[in-house]
Amino acid sequence: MQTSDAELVTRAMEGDREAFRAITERYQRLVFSIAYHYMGSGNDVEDIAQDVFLRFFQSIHRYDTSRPLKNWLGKITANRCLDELRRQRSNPVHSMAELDTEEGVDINELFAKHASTGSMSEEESERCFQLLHTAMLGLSDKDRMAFVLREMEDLEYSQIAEILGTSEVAVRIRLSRTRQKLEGELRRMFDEQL
Amino acid sequence: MSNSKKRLDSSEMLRFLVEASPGIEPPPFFPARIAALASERVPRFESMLLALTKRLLPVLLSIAVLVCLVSYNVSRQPAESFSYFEILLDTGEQAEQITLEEVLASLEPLTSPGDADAD
Repeated sequence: MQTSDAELVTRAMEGDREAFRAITERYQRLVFSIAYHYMGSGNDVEDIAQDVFLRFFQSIHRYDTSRPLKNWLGKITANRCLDELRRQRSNPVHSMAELDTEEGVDINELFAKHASTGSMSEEESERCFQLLHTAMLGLSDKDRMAFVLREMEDLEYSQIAEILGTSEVAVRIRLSRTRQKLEGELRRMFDEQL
Repeated sequence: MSNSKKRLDSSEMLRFLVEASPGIEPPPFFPARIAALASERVPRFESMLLALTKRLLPVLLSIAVLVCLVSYNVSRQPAESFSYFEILLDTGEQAEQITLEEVLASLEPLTSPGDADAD
């Protein structure tokens, strides 16, 4: 039987090293995935993930065990990513996504190939992500985070609301607008390539 | 018609790109590394208590010494009607009560007639 989150947290509060390891193992995919899809590259992801877990463990006595640990860690990850993005904006560098778009990616070709074969190489998959990330660059920080949490991490609206510190209705409205914006941006990119 | 077709395409395109985007695998020893770092950085309750006691020990000792001094002083006060506080709060009233005549009178034995003859 799997140990509950609350039990692991209680043990971690007592400094149990095995509890630290078990919590990290249970939620590392979530933290890595949010950071990767939000930041758009794997460069800073490990540093962000490490920082997220260490921040959590250092302030574990403030964690309310009645709340889901997944939401709590999601919130720390979202905040850490937003901070990192602000820091990078103050010291701008071109992302891989921007560079690749300048070279031009044939979306139709990728789409048609995937439709016919149902498979995709790692490189093609990476190109799709770069393309999506380029379209996401025009979104606000919170729109982008909401989109990543819902569409890429498949979180519930209520979980996203807790992570972003807003209401479920606000999240639904935000996501609806974000999808429209992204579709418009993709249409523009798609039209440019024709 | 053409517009609705185009909108559907961009919606499909978005869905396709989301589904095609890759995930990321955490490095194999990540949990062990985090556990080691957390063990170093996150203080245990006992060590926190010990650190707190160490930090507060000088303060507690100082308070204890002060309490001892005051209680000792208070216990002595009725017997000898003497207080350290009286010294500290002495406004010099006794000095003002000593007159010049009294001072001269106290010096008289030093300037006795015998001494004057010797000069």
